[in-house]
Amino acid sequence: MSEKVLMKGNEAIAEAAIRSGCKLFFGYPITPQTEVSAYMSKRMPQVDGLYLQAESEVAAINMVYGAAAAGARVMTSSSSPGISLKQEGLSYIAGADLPCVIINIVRGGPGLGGIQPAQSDYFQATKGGGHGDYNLVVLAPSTIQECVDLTYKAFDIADHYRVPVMIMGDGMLGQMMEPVSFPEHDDSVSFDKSWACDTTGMKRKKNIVNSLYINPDELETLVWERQKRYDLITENETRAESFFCDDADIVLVAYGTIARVAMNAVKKARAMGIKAGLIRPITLWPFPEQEIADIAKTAKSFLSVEMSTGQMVYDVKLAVNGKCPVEFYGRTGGVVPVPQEILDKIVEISKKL
Amino acid sequence: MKRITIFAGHYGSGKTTAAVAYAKKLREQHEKVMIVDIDLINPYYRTKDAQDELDALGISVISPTYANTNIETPSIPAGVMAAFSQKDTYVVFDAAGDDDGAVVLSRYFMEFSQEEYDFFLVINSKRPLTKDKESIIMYKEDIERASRLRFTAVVNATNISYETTLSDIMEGEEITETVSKESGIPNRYTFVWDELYDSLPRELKEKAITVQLFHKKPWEL
Repeated sequence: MSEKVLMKGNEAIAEAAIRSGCKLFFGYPITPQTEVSAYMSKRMPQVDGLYLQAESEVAAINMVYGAAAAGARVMTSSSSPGISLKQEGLSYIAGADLPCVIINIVRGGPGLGGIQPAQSDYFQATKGGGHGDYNLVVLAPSTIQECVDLTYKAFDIADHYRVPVMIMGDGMLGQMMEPVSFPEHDDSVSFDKSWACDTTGMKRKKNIVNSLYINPDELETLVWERQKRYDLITENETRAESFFCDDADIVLVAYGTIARVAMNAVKKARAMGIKAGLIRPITLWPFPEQEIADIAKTAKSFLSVEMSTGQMVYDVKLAVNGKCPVEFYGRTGGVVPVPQEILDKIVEISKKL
Repeated sequence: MKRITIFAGHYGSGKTTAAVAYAKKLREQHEKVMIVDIDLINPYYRTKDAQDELDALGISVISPTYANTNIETPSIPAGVMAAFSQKDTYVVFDAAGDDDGAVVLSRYFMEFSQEEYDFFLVINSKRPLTKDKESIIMYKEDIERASRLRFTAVVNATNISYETTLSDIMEGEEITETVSKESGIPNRYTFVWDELYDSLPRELKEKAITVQLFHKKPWEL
C-alpha cells in the first residue's frame, strides 16, 4: 500500500489506469472529466505511454477500437454528451469482442444540459446506448479510493471476458478531492491475447478482428456465445454493499456519491427510530438483483434515490418483483440532493407503513 | 501585507482556501478588502462557495458571471479592473491552477507592474505531482512563464483534506523550505486547518494563517 496523497477523482482514475498497465489513452476534453486527460498528458510521457487528444470523441473511441484490437490495455474518457458520440464505436467494440475501459463522468442532460453532476445516463450505460445485443459492464464508485480500486478491477474484467467496461461516476466524484492510496497492482495475472492483431511473425495465420458476419446463422451463434459470457459476468462479478438491511423496513437503493448522501439520511432516520437501510449497487450492470430480492423478503418498502427523474428505479422494481412498494426520490439537472430532503421522504414513507 | 496579493500554484493545492483565509486576515486590519476569482478552468469548488461568509464579513467578491452555474464561459469579469483603480482596497487574486490558469494573470501584466505586489506560490506536497522540490520548481517556472510575473514568496498549504496531521504539515514545511532556499524567495506563510493550529510548534505558529474548510460535500450537510 502506497503512502496517501490528495487527489481528484479524475486524477485518481487516470493514475490507477496507468498502474493497471494502460499505456494508451485517447480522449477529447469535456467538463467535468477534463482532468483525466490533463493528468494523462503529463503522466503518460513519464511511463513511455501515449496520450493523444483526438479530433473528436468519435475519433477517440475508434482509436481505442484499433489499439484494443492490437491487444493493448487502452482507455478513453468523456462525459455525457461525449459518451453519446462514442456509442457507435462502443457497439463495434462489443461486437468485435474487444476489451477496453471507458470513463463516463456524468453531467446533466439531455443535449448539452449542463456541467454539474448527474446520474441521468443510467439507461444509456446499462441498457446499451449503442445498437445490438450487447452489454457494458458498468462500475459505480462512490469514493476516490473506490475510483482507484474499481479502475484496477475494470481492466481485469475487460481482459478476462473480452468486453468493454465502463466506470460511471458523476461530476462531483470527478471533481472532488479525497485522501487516496494506490495498492500494489497485481501484475501476476496474465490474460490470453492470442486473438490480437499484433504481428504474425510469419509464424501463424493472421488474426481478424471484425463485427461483420455475412451469414445470419454465424452471427446468431456468436451473439449467443457472447450472451453466455454475459451470464458468467453476472454470476461472478455482481457487486453491492448493504448497510442496516437485516431488520430494515425501508430500504434505500442508491449508487455513487448519492449513496453517501443516502447513508447520512439512513443514519438520521435510525436515530429517529425509523428502521431504514441502504443497498449500494457497485456494479450497475450486472445489477445486484439477487441481493435486492433477498432483502425484499423482509423489507416493507424500497426507495430508489437518484440524480435523475427515475432510471435505476425500474431495475429495483424488477428485482423486488412486486413483493413490496418501490418509491422514488430524485433531483436532476445538476442538482445534488442533501440528506434532509431524503430523510423527509423516508419519514413520509414510514407514515404509510 | 501588500495592497495586491496573488495566489497561484498547482491545481488542487489549496489556493482558493488559502486566498479566502488571507482575505479574511486582511479584513481584520483593513476597511476595504476584495477577492478576485479569475479561475477560468475549474467548474466546481470555487471562491463563490464562500460568498455568503465573505459577504457577511464585508469582503467583496468578483467572480466570473457564470461561476457555479451550468455553463462555462472562459471570460474575465470587467469588474477585475476595480482591483487596480480602487487604490484604497486590498485585493487578493485567486488564479486557476498550473500554467494554464496563470495565463489570465499575464493579461494584467501592465497593471501589476504599476505597483509592488505579493505573488505567492502555494505548495501542497501531498499532491502527487508536486511532492518534491524538483516538481514544485518545474511548476513554479511554468507558472512564471505563463503569467509573466515572478513569485515573491512560497507558502505552505500542505494538506490531505480531513485526514491532515501535524506531520503532513511539517513534511510540507520542510519541502517548502528547500524550494524557498533553492529559488531565493522567502517562505512566508503556513496555511493550517484551524483544528490543528494549537498543535503547531511555536516558530510555525508565528507564520501560520488558519483556514476553515468551506467546500462542504452534500453528505456532510
